[in-house]
Amino acid sequence: MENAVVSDFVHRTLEALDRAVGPHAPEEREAIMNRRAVLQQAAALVSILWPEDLTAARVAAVLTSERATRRAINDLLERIGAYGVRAGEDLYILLSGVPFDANKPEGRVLSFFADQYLHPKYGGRLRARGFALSRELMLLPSEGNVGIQDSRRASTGGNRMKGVAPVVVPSRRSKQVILVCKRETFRHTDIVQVLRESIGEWTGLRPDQVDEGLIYDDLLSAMDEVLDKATLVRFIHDIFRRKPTVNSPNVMKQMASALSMTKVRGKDGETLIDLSLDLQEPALAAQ
Amino acid sequence: MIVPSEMSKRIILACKREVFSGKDILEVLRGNIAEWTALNPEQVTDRNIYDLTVDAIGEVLDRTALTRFLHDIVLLQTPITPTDLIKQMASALILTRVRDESGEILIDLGIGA
Repeated sequence: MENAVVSDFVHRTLEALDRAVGPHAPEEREAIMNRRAVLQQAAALVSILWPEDLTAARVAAVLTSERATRRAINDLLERIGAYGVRAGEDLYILLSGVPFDANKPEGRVLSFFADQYLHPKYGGRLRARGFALSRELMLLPSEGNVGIQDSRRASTGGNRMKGVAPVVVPSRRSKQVILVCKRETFRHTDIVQVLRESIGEWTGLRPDQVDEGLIYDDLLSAMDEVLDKATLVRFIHDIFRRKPTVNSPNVMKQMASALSMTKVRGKDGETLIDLSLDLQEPALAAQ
Repeated sequence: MIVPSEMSKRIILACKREVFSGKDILEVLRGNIAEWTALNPEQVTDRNIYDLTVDAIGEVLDRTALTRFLHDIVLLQTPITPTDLIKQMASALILTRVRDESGEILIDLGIGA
């Protein structure tokens, strides 16, 4: 059903784009066609998540300026990022159809997107096509992706050299907790149970040995490390927003949700919270 | 020096004033908020009190204290109601220092103004 929604949406989008592209000069037309591929992917992704949300006309409208295009893409990515993407394969199929140039803003946006949301098993294939995947192993930290870590370390090291914004670097456990929360958003799994199993895995305990207090402490530490004070206050405000009474699993779910919605990248793609998990940083930095 | 909003000052003062009175802090706050807003006490809902008290702790507690507050939530017997948390917040406000060791004002509650 999702595929039907996507293909219908893309079809309608392309029609609108063709109309928009029609009267332009050849070079302008080429530029628009390049952007169109990117927008097509973004629009298709949005249509998976919100089938009725973005109209083809709106996509066509944003094609009239480079800046507006980028803003539109960023806007889409931000919203998709806030909710998480469910299907790695769908995303791979969509991304793999894009003419890709890592030196263009659109290329960087797509790389960012793939880094954040794509299942690692598709990463190698995309990288072979020139995608500058730097953070893909963030998605599923328990699956080995050793070969990819070098390029990532090099790129974040470069960003850090510029010293633009202070990057929050949570503890390793908090990074793991945040990644699990982000990964499980909208999967309809019981996040408390998923965390129980994950914490068991990280600590070598059996899931039944991981009690609620341990999960709660880990969630709280993660919140303490990455959320600002205003967000903490808003969190307390919202505890009873949906229910007149809550129990600790409810509160833990809300904490997980707050963590899953935490932005890890700023508007310009800069890292706000470093969730990378590799341990060989000094060694790699020296290379 | 922290200068809380007028409503937060009043809530903090009410909490500190009533700490040893044995009165139900929820009803004390309800009465006070009603008085300050010219409402009848029964028009002030638990949710109103909750929101105003959260504002107060947000204005005067630091991050560490806020985190500690969240940590204490799980120690409460479940299920947790807004009333439970209002009481918890009131204790946090009561225990908040407004002057340091040398008598310097840390939080301006408008005392003596």
